[in-house]
Amino acid sequence: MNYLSRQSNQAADFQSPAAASNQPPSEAREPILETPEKGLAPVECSNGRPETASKASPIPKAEGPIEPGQTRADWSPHWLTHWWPKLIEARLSLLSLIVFFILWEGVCYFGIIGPYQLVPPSKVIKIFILKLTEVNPDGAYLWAHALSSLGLAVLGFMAAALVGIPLGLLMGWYPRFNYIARPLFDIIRPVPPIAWIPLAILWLGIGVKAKAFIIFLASFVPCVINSFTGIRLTNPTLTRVAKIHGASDFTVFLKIGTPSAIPMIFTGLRLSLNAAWTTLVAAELLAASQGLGFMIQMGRRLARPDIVIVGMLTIGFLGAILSWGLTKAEKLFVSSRRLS
Amino acid sequence: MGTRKNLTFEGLGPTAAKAAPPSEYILFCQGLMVSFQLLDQLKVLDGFTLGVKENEFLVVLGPGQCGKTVLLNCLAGLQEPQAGLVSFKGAPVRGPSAERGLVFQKYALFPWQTVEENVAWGLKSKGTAKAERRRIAAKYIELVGLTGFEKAYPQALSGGMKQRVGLARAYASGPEVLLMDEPFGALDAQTRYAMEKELLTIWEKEKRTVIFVTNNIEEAIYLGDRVVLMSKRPAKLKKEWEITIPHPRSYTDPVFLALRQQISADYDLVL
Repeated sequence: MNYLSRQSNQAADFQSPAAASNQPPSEAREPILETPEKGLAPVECSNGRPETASKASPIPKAEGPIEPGQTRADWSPHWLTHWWPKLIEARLSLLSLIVFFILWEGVCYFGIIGPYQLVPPSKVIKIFILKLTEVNPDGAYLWAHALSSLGLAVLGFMAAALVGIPLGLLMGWYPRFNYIARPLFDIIRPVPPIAWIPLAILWLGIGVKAKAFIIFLASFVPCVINSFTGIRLTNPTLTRVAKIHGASDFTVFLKIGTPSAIPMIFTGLRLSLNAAWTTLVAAELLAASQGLGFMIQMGRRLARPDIVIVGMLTIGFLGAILSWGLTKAEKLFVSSRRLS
Repeated sequence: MGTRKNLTFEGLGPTAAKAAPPSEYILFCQGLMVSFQLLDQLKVLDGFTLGVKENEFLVVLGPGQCGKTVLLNCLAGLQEPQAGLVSFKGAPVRGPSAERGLVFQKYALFPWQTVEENVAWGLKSKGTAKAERRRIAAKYIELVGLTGFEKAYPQALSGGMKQRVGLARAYASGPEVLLMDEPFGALDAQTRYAMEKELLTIWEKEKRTVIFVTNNIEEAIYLGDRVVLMSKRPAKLKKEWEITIPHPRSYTDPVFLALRQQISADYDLVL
């Protein structure tokens, strides 16, 4: 008790020396219980302090409105603290790109690599623009190739999401279902999608179906694995809350398990889209008359590296745009519904 | 849930039938045994017997890791004891039910639902009509003093507010028994005192049987009509105090302090 009482007195000393000096220390050391008024008095005195404190505030007051991320004591303008570092980062990225293209151009210009192996970026741009309005030499416009490929990839990807996500969720939630589906899935999972090409042709012919099937197989696996993991991460306390309120197991699966899994499902979708897009060229090795993969193949056969590079870059750009779009959609969906 | 023979009175044989729960108890558990197979057989509860009277505020006091949460889970029907029985209003407990609401230490709100939706969750599972759901939810949101926050999401709320939502949710589905698992354990001291006071106010307005689990002696004396002390693992009922100090209780009341000293002497032995 003595110790406690002394402590509170010291605290008051620290806050307001003037107030504490009124209180003789010997009295303050008495137990709180017996003389509560005396024990508490110095602490009450500290209530008067904030008035004097505000006068001698060490923080200068800035004029005008305050930007976010800026304190009153911060005199530097917003653009200098906020935009300038970003601009420097952007410059560095731009610099690396410029150096890369200069090296590439130089390698071609000085004939280090011959024109049948590599073409300079300047020619790639020229061919890119030309291909928008030119069918030759591979038989279709660039945008027609791109649309055909996009359609194929999206078809396979959608099918994979529609089948893979529910499958993964069910496997993650119902152990019995997991025991049934798991061995089959574990056998199919390590088989590379390209290895399915011969069977796909035998089963589905050489049309869109076979190609979509290959893409489906490639993007199906990440969907299943991530939905499975996602629903397994459901907070068990939330499950208990739901059950306490009389919800059936299926309701808990639908209303608690599935929303909990959504961030992971989106991760799976991103991986799936990536897989779908990268398997595209392989799928289009199947007899095709259109598509970016087909265009690349034609470029190889015709010994036209420019066509190949234009095809590759288009695949790269479209892939980046697709995954950027999915990330945006994810952020919008997940944050608007408070799912993470 | 399959059939659980060990939970029926008949299954326990003649001695247990004789010791069938006295009718004064709304919730009763007898000879509970729960163990977990970790590295070793870990007995958490062993022969735990406890009766709770209707509209009683019972505080279960015990040190950390002594099986308080396991006990609550058994009472709620979320956990099946290896031996012993839990009975609610004379009938054996076979699984979770809305009649026994739970409030968790970690709030356990659904982050993708607004305060109102969270509070109305139990009613929705019961199949209550929408208008009725809203009315009941609004009533309990008002009771816990959160009117105006119906459309807010849990992430925007402070710890104390979250726990109010948890309390409102437990109340809204109309339970007869409220099981509280260290509900204020994660709150700072100031909020904790305020919430304790508020819980009592709410409880005075809407009487329910409350089983409040805590490891804080002061909280136990402040809130409880009766305080039971659990021993360390495997947990048994160690001691029991009736607390007759009238509400509102004061932490510095000499009777309170004397009682606190008395309980802490036993509490220290438990550790």
